[in-house]
Amino acid sequence: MTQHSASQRQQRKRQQARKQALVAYALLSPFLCLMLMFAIFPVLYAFGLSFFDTIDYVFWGLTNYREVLNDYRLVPAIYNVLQYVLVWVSMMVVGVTMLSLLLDTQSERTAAIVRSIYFMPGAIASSAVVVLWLFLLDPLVSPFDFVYQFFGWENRQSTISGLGEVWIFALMGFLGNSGGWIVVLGGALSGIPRDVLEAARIDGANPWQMATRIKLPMISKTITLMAITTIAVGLQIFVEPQLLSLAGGQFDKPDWSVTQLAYFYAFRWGDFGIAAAISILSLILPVIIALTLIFATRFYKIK
Amino acid sequence: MKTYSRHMLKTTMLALAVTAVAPVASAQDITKLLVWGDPIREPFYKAFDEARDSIELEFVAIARNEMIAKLQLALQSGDGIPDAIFLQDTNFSAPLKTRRVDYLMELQDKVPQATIDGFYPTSNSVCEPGDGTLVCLRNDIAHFMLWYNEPLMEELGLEVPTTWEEYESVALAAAANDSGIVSGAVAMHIPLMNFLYSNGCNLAIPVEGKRDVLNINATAPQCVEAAQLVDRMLDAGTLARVAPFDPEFVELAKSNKLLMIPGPTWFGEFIIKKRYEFPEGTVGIGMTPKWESQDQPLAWSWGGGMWGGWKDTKHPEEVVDLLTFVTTDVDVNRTAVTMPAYQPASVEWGAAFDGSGYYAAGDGFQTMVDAATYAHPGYVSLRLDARSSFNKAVVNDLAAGASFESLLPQLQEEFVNAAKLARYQVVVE
Amino acid sequence: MNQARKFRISHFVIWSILAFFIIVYGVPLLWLLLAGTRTESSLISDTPLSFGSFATMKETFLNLIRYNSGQVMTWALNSVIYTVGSVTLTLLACIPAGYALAMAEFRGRKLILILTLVAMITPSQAIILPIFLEMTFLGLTNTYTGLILASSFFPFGVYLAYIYYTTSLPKSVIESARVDGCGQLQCFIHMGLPMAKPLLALVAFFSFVNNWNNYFLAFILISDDSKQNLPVGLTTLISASGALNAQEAASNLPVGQPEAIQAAILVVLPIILVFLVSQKHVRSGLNAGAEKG
Repeated sequence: MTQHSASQRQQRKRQQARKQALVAYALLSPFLCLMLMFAIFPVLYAFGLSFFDTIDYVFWGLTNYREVLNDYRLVPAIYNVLQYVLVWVSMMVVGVTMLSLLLDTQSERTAAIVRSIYFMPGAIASSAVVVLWLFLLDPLVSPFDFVYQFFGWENRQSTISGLGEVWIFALMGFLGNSGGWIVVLGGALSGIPRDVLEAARIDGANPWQMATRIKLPMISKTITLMAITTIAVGLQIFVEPQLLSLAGGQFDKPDWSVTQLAYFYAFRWGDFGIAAAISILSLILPVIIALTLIFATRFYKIK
Repeated sequence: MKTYSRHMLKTTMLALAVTAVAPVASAQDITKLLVWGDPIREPFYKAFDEARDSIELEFVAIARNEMIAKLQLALQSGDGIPDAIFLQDTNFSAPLKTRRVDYLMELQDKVPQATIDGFYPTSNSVCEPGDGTLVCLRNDIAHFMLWYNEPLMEELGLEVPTTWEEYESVALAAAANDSGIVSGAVAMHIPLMNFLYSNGCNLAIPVEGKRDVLNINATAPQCVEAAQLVDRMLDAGTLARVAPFDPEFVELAKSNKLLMIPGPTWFGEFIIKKRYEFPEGTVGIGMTPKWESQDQPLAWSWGGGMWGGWKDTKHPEEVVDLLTFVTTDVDVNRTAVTMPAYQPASVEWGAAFDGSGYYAAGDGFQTMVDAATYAHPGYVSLRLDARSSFNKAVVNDLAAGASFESLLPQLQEEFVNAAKLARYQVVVE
Repeated sequence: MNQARKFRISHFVIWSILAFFIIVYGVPLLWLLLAGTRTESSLISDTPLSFGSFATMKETFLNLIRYNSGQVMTWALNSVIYTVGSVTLTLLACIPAGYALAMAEFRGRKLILILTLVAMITPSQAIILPIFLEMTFLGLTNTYTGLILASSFFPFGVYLAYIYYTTSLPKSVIESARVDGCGQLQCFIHMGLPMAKPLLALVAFFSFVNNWNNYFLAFILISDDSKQNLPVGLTTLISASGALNAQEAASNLPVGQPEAIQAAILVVLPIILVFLVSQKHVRSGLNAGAEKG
């Protein structure tokens, strides 16, 4: 009798669990469909394509990969991208953290206004960024002309050569993305429990100590997330160098970044196989970074 | 996208309403063609559409830097492939006729030889891959000329140079006494290329009779000689270390500090008139200079578009008709923005050019016709992007202050690499 | 006394840094807005931050509108269609997904969560080609549906929803509700959705910015220029008119630098407006999810 009811209970529990899983899948299904269509399938498809000659559809093993690795533009492109990521990520980590901590010392209302201003350039993206920057970099037109004069850059060409693409794209990226992250970090900072800050203040901590010893450790996770996302996005830089050509042939950089090389093979030469091989190769690093992050922080655990 | 058919339909319906006895055109008689081009070329298509009752065009405007990519996408999807296309860049034909992408229709047997002979000599070499085929028709020619400021030249008591060596000395004389007068702007790919190519410097020039062999020798004596001239002029300040369109240079030109500048045939109308704003009657058009060691000049070109058709179009005859019409029709080309490549069509265009009264001498067009004979036969379409290679290897460093001569070795290296990547065989001669 | 002075000095330092960055961040946009009122020659000859005139602004705007008989407006309308479509779909897909991942235990949960995070961190540029081939196969290239679907995949939205629910809806509450006979679905409808308002604002905002600025995906999937969105249209306009590049100057179109600038403003302005309007909700949504982040 007791045994019977126990097994019945267990069965009911299992049934319930099954029902719960079913409902969960139902809630997830729209997203899962999209993920299947626009993430999983494309990656598998690209993986498959990368082993084929996509003109005559002949399997040719690693030929596409060999072509890519022998391309003389690959190493300089990797070097460009790595330099850019390094500069951009450093700017983001230092700049965003500093500004967020400084804003946190202000009243909520002031901080909100300043944050809005910081966010503004984030509204300018893709093609509009390039339009804006082509003017910003031209000493004759730019509101930052005094800076260029200081360095002795007299025209757009010398400004671009003087600053170098790495710094230009990093500045573009910083101006466009840091505002959003300042808002995010602002959120994280205001999430720090009041009593912790109060206790520190009573212990006689000055603003500097408060910022570096209390606040910084508590938002370090968000900063890490920002750094990781920035690295991943930075590795795939494409639109900025690609659209520089809008300003004229002399600014055209069709082989500056790795993603551009994939684009070049696919859309200039019509070779989707080699392009797929580049895509697969350039996915490896971000995926490793992502997985490391996920397993290091045990992100999937429900607290 | 603009559909003329829509417009025509409206007109037809209006006619129906008014007369009530309109003839009903059967749909089968009408051939529809999908055509691509830039907005400037839309009137060409429109004129053809109007000239042919049985053909209707659907026009799609495509920007230059998106053209090839868009075409690849269409070819890949098999949907929306244009029957005819205006190629805005002379470098677009070669990448569209390869093992990977085979788009362009061969025209050598479809267009009458007499028509082909009507084009300016060598103007169609951008449409000839080198195996005896013709894969497009040239729209406009854009060889270099020497544009100059006539009143300023007179005022300084100087003669229009006929050789590059004279060009250097005239420029130097004009810049005397810190006058601030310049004679060109060279921190840009094609103006620099013209110096090299005009001296017979071989930088990715196809070896005659061989489709896949390029001659690349950037450190040859002709190249060094040309580069040294540029360097001397840069040092003397007679050439500006900027691009001809940079606002800074435009300001110089506007303030009567530009004596002369080598530039292609469209420079007068679109740069000197529109940007430099030279007053009417001041612009002189000189023959492109030769080097002293040469018997006659050799001029590089800057631009010029082409018209091509799709090899698998359902209506090859209509497409060939269209391509021939837009390149050879006199009425359409009279108002073209740039010098038509088809000689008979260019005559009336030239009359309008001279008749505008903007240029100092009334025979500028004839000078441009004469100069066309000297257009470099090596101005062809390549599978490698010579301009971006040139930029990468030279322009940034030059703008930053390096000497042109010192950059020639890295130019050589870049070109050889790019050519090999594009599956060319490289010879150094 | 001493402390007060110290405080004043630190205050001064803080404010100089903040003010410096206000200039750095604010000036480009200010310049852009002002430049929209100036003529081409005024751009070069007048001081960078000067104001032109409303008459110039109007004329420039009319030139822009007239380009290709009102094509800019078509692009703007398309942008609205794409954005509204994608934001709606994103919300429909992300909110329930985030809820399910946060609240339910089921087989495959960990895998889905990991895949979502990987997708979120890995940018989509690399796989845009196969997406194009896939959409070609499905006959969805060059359609509104195709681009809307493709840009509705927004793993960051699921991440935000997941964080939001794990931090602001304690599992114990759900457990007790379930004891009271509330099924998983009812729980979502009666508890998950009503509290999702800041979350909706948050996800909608980020998805809006993403979609409104969509360049690459739109460029690849849409070839018909009457179905193009603003960011791609803007490059077509600039490139076709030679506004920024005199090499393509062989054109008689009345589209120059001021028109290009106003077109850029047209792309930028909606985002700023939406940000200003939704800022409060966005922040409260972020605050709620901040603990875990």
